Amino acid sequence: MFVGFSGVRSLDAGGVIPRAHNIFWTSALGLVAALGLIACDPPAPANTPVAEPTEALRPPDQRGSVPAKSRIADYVIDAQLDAEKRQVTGTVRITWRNRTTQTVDHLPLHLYMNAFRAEDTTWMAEGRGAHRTGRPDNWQWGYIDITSANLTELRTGVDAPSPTELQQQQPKQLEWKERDDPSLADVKLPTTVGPGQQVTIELAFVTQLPTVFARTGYHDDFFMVAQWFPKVGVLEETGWQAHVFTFHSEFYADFGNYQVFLDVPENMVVGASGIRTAEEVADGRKKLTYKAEMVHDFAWTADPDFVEYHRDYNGIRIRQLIQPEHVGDAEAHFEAQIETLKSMEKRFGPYPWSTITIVHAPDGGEEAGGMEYPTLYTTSDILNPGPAKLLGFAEQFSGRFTTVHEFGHQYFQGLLASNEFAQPWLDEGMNTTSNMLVMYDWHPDDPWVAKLGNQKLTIDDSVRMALLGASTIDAVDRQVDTYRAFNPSYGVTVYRKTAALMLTLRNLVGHEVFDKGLRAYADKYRFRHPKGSDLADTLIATIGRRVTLAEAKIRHDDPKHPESQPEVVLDVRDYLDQALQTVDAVDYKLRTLKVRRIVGRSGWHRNDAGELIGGEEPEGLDTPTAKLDDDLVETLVVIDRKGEFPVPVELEVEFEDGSTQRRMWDGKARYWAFTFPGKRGIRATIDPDQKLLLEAHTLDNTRTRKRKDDGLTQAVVDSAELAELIAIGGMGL
Amino acid sequence: MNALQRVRSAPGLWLGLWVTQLVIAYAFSRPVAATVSQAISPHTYLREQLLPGIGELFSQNPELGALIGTAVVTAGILSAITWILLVAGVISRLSGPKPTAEFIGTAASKSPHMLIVTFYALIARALALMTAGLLVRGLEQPLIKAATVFVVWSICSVALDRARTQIVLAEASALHPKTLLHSFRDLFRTVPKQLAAAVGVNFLAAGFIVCSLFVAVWGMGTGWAIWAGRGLAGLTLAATLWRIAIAVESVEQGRNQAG
Ligand SMILES: [Zn+2]
Repeated sequence: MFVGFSGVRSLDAGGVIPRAHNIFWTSALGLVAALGLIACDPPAPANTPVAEPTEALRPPDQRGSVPAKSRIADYVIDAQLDAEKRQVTGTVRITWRNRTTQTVDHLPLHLYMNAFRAEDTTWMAEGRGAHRTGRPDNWQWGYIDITSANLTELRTGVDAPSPTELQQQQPKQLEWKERDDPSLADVKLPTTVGPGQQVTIELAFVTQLPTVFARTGYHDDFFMVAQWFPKVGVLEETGWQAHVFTFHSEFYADFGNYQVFLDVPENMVVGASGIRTAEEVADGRKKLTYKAEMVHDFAWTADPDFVEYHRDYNGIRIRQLIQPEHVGDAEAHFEAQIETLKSMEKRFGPYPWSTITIVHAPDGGEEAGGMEYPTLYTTSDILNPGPAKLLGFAEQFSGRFTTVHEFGHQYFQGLLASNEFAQPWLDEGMNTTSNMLVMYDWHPDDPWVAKLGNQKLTIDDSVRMALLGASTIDAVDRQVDTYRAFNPSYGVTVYRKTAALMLTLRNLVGHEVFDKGLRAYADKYRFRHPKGSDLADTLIATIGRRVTLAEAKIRHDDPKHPESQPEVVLDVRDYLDQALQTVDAVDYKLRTLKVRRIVGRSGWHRNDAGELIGGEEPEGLDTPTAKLDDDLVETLVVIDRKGEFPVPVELEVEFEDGSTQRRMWDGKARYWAFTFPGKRGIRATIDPDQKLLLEAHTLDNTRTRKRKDDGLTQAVVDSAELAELIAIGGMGL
Repeated sequence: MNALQRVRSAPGLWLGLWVTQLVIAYAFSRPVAATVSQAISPHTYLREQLLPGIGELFSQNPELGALIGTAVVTAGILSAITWILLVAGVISRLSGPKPTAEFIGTAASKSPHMLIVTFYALIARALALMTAGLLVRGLEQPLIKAATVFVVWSICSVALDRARTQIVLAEASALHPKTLLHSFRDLFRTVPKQLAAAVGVNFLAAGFIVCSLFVAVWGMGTGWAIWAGRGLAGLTLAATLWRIAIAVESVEQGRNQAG
């Protein structure tokens, strides 16, 4: 799921161009645009159809490892869409394998659609009927009603094939009951299912789709059918993992194979997880068969207006279903998709499936946008900046970044299927981390996300600025219902702070070793359910628990010698613990930069014979340092640690002679002083390479001597004055 | 004497008004300077890219956005008031060389009249823009929409110029709304060429404003931007004076013909 970058929103709100006289500006800009400066809309891409793959997974030599033992829950679904009633009626046959050492007597079922059934469900009560952008115009409750439940088979041997045809044996009726929150129900099994056994149940259900306001539902003729069928929970050694569907929560399920029969009105263009294996049109209806392998969900979409474009990337069929008014953006989404695939396959191993479908929701149905499902995701439209484009405004957040993000989920939760309820940061946060790596790979010299004239905002800046918001309300490693709907902390903390803490670590320990660690995690936990501790352990196994970032270089005869450098060691475990488990902030301040007289040798000292000699007056105590010889002065730099999260930090000092020196500090004490004998510092900067993405407050990171302007005031004031002149002139009095 | 010559023969008028504008803009940017400088002091921002610094500055000093907004609005209002106080003198000066005392005298004695006719013009402009907005709503092309709205805006400005000129030079009544209404009527009936010329000149002024926007955006953080912006403000003002001079020329011609 994609949650907007609040940091950029706050920048928009604080812009320097006045809002008044909008009509005038529009008109004036229109004038220039009329002169032909406006760029035309990009053309629709050429459409060269790519054939539907015949297998849901890529060939064995391309797909990477797909462990058979990860296959737990298979689904055969037969469903009909009533487009008038916006209802899906169907049956689902679930074959569930017990690969644990536990014995169970029931299957917990997620009935996600019931979250939208009434005002007092957990989801609705928290969200008060609204999601990211608000309430829908026309209200329609969503629900799922199970109308029958039967046991069709119970057998020993988890690796036996699951039935695709209804069993001959007499089905046995099962009891089922919704829990207090109707997003969960339990089906009682007539007999226990022990380790190594598999059970097949068949359920009949009716799903009423809601007006789309939280990922799933309909808008006019557009249908995004997701979280639409009963899904069994995940059995872990500690017991069943099945959670009430809560406001920010996403999903958690086991891998398995899906065969899905859809019956829809003939005019519908359909996109779905997996591959289409059959299509038949008769009596105004279209009957489609889909197959998806080793996935943990199945979603589909239908809209008569979809325009379809294809691309092929190394045998992966990329299919884009876009609204007719946005076909000009299709190429940009393909580019983003392919760049993301390139980067992620290189970093996290092969994409195992043979297809990926990009879906665009229509205007009014945007709430379906920005959401991931196996081998299918919804993106968002690229914003048209209008006249601002002429002024040099550009951004890659809308549309492109959504495509990068939603495809990223094919790895960070599609493959590395973490529990999104228990540890949402493992999918949203690690995915955002991977998105930033994609942006680095895509734009290696200049990973910008927004431009205004000559000014740019990089992806790192955008994350750092987001942390200025609500990054100290909740910690990162919390289960999803910790993040309350009325707090803005979810998007900032789970997405951006996770990315910031991971990329800060990457910058500190070195890109290569960190990337290796992340790759080890991706390889080891492919098609599994990794936990936060698995990620931390894998990273530490690769990077090492303690990383020496600076060797001690203290000369004991002269501790203030220019070479002096205390040893700096980063404890990766401590770092991850504090970053993930606390709301402590990284924040340093450059408190002092000054040139002062060095300590002299005047006064009484004992000679070798033990007699006190000397006693001369100190020299140059009141002489301005500018008039003292170089060897009589030193530069003093003091750094304060304002935040409670100590992280190793670098200091760069520039001297009057044009030279620079760097020092590292472990950041643990409340402050640290560095001295540079014989040097006259003119600038001192904390974190000169901007490695610490976790440090949001950076305006106090540099001090200078002998410089009149502060580097920012003049720019802001000039902009304000220009805005005033434009307002005065623009009134045309 | 044509309209442009009238402006060229009054460099002191242009210079005086330009400096007034610059002083107003400069004065109202001082509180912004003080606030930003205090927020950053004693530190320095040295990154080439200003947006991250500006973003942090605004997010940590939310009053700054309001302060700049207020500066812009207040400078605009003060400039409007100054203009209303001076515009009768401006028209009188554009009609021919005048001693400073006469400029001040006309400006002062006619300023209540200018206030009234400006108020009427404000209402007329609001109505005209609303109507224009409704008319262009169905149009597909945003450029044509914007240009149409700007033409309507310009016509209102030109009508106001004419009404003010009639009041200053031809003793027309400011209190009676018909002075303004007749200006609109005459522009279309009697002097459509002058209307077209004045609207054209207003497009020129708008062009300078657009250039100023480009300067503000592309010159952000450079030393030249503010000077280029100040220069463009002078050119915008010159174009506005030219537009007014067209009204003066037109009214004087009408009076000569009548005389
Ligand atoms: Zn997401």
